[in-house]
Amino acid sequence: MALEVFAVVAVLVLFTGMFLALLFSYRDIEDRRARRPAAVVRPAAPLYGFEARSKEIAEELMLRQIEHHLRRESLLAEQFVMDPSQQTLRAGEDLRLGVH
Amino acid sequence: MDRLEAIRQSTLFTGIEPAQCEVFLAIVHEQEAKPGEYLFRLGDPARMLYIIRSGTVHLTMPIAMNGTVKEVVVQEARAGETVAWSALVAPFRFTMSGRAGTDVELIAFSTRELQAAIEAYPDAGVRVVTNLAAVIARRLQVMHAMWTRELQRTINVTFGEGAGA
Repeated sequence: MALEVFAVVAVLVLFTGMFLALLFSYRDIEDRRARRPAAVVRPAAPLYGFEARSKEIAEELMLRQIEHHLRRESLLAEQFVMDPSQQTLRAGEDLRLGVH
Repeated sequence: MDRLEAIRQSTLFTGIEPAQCEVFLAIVHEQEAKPGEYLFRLGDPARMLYIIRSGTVHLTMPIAMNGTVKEVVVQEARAGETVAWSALVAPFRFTMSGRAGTDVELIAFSTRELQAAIEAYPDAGVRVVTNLAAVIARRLQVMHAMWTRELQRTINVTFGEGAGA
């Protein structure tokens, strides 16, 4: 009888200990998470975000961007010449210089 | 491709009989250019007209960026195309610069010799001048469309998108 009581008490102590350990561990993690500063979300520089780079690279990228725009515009203008209409004239009108 | 075939397949001599092409073949000057080498510069007197035999020629305009002026490629011309047509049209001065974008082989005609051939052989000359008008018209139409599109964008930006709807 004494052995059975001892076993029940031992099981109760063990389970209570395990429960308390899990509880304190969970609270500790939640406290640490609450104290951590919120992550700063920095917007990624755009593909042609050249302002932060050297002057030479900035000029080269600017030149390429302009030439890319002109090449695209030239192709769209050719399509208008082949098939003149209001639609072909205004096709891709929202693609301004710097928009990809 | 031999010179005669290169001339016949060009935008300037399209539709001309081989026998008529012989007249122009007699006055060609062959020329080559390395990438980045200028064939002509804006403002210079235009004394040579070119047909591109192979490679790419970049037609450029000076554009100011960050206080420095850069030559920006506004058009590209490829094999068979005619560049430097200012050599046949008054005031005979280049309104763009032209430089080799790749290794380029060119067939060049001097203004004086080409004008003389056109006058001496009017049948072929009329075809050449008509083709030249088509080359110029094509460039004009493309540039006109590009200008109209940029004007529309300026209107949209200045007066709001609704103005251009």
